[in-house]
Amino acid sequence: MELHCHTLRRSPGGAGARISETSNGPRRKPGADCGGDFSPAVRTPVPWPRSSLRRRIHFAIAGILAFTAASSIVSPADATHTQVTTVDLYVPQRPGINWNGYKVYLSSPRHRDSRSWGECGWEENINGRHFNVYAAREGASPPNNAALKDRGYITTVGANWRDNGAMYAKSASNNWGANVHIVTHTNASVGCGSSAQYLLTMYRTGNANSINLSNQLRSALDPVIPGSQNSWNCDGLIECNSVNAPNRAYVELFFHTNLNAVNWFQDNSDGIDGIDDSWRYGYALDRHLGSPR
Amino acid sequence: MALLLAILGSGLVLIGGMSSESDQAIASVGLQPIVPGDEYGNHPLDAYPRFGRSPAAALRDDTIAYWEAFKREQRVVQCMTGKGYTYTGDVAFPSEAMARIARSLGVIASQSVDTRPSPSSVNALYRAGLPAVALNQYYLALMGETSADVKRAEGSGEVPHDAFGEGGCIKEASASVPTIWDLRRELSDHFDDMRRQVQFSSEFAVARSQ
Repeated sequence: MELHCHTLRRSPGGAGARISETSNGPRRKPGADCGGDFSPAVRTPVPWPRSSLRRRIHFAIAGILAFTAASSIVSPADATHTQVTTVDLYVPQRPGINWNGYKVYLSSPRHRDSRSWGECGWEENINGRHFNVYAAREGASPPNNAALKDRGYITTVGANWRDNGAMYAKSASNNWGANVHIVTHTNASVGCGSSAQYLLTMYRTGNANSINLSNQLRSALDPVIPGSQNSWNCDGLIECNSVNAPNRAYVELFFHTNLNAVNWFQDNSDGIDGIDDSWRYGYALDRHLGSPR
Repeated sequence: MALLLAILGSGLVLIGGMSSESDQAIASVGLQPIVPGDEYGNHPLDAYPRFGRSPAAALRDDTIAYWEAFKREQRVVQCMTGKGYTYTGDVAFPSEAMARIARSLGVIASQSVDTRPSPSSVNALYRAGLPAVALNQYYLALMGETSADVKRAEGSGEVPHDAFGEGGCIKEASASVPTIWDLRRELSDHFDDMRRQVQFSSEFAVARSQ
């Protein structure tokens, strides 16, 4: 399948650089020693609970690999705005800076019926994943416009496969130990051409961290997203009330049934579009957490 | 700040309840000296599993977390089998994070195309063969929810209550294999508040402007 990656004008690649989700650092040669995989320079032994635990984990993982489609594990996460994928995208902090101690799970839509909600442009599953990938990895000129990786966060962008997998995403975030869980969806009205349009950021009632994160996201995104803005609770949604991440928010970026908003999001004929504002996630998160470094 | 972290770190093992197997394992190892070395340096919290900050320590913590998730799925399999159902363990973990763990342990996945069905598709196929009443019983046994609520949760994400899907065999498994992250989450609010106070304090602002 041909890939048409989003054109990123402000990336390190320069004007018109086309990127794909596979451009996440150099890949190891087959058979290379992959120990200490977060960085090639790790040499320091870290204390393990006990020597036998590491061996048992080895067998456990070997066991699960025997039941898991290996191709899905090693396949590059190559979805762009034309594809959905079963693969999560892992974005570590930028080489040369310290991890700030926060793991961020950016959850993408996994609607089985994505494409059937009157989308004027890309389907909802693509919209959420695409924005998340850029928020995690691309950004613009640091420091204020930096992506999450440039701010020291480790991010997993969830898969956007059409499998109704919200429950799976919740469990993956919990098992991985995410400190931050942000869901990125787009909203729908009656069909393409609808006038309904607003940014919606949602929070968990009674959770001060969630309320503040939601407010920070709204403050950061509202100036650039067409239309008005709203905020209410997401208490009845599984990725809001059942994730364990202490900091959580649920974003409906725009209405994919509103032409003006869709044009803002994906039309780059004027040299800038909504994807280029994805750095605002990192900005909002830094504001919420106090810029951990 | 480093002193603050060191103090916090030294109290963590004492604060945490030694309820899980991994906690007991963590307690049995003692603390090894931290050896300076890599380009990122070491962090005062590296010695405390679940709080590791250097790349190797963070990978260690992820590995323990994956192992625990795998153990929980094994318990779910046992529980479901005991209730007369067929269930294939399906560890929910970010795929690339899992691949990094596997590579660090020397487990290299085959580069050839693998046509084996995934655990989730095996389970889906099994569920597809269950009559409606049996399917409802299956979900009640697995997670304590009705099939109607599960279907709604999967479709729209809407759920009737908190901690959805965490009953039944999943609840039993979670109780027997707690997660390494529990203690960190309990301390998260305090730690975040502390850092924000430092970050937004007038003293910090003055120091940053100099």
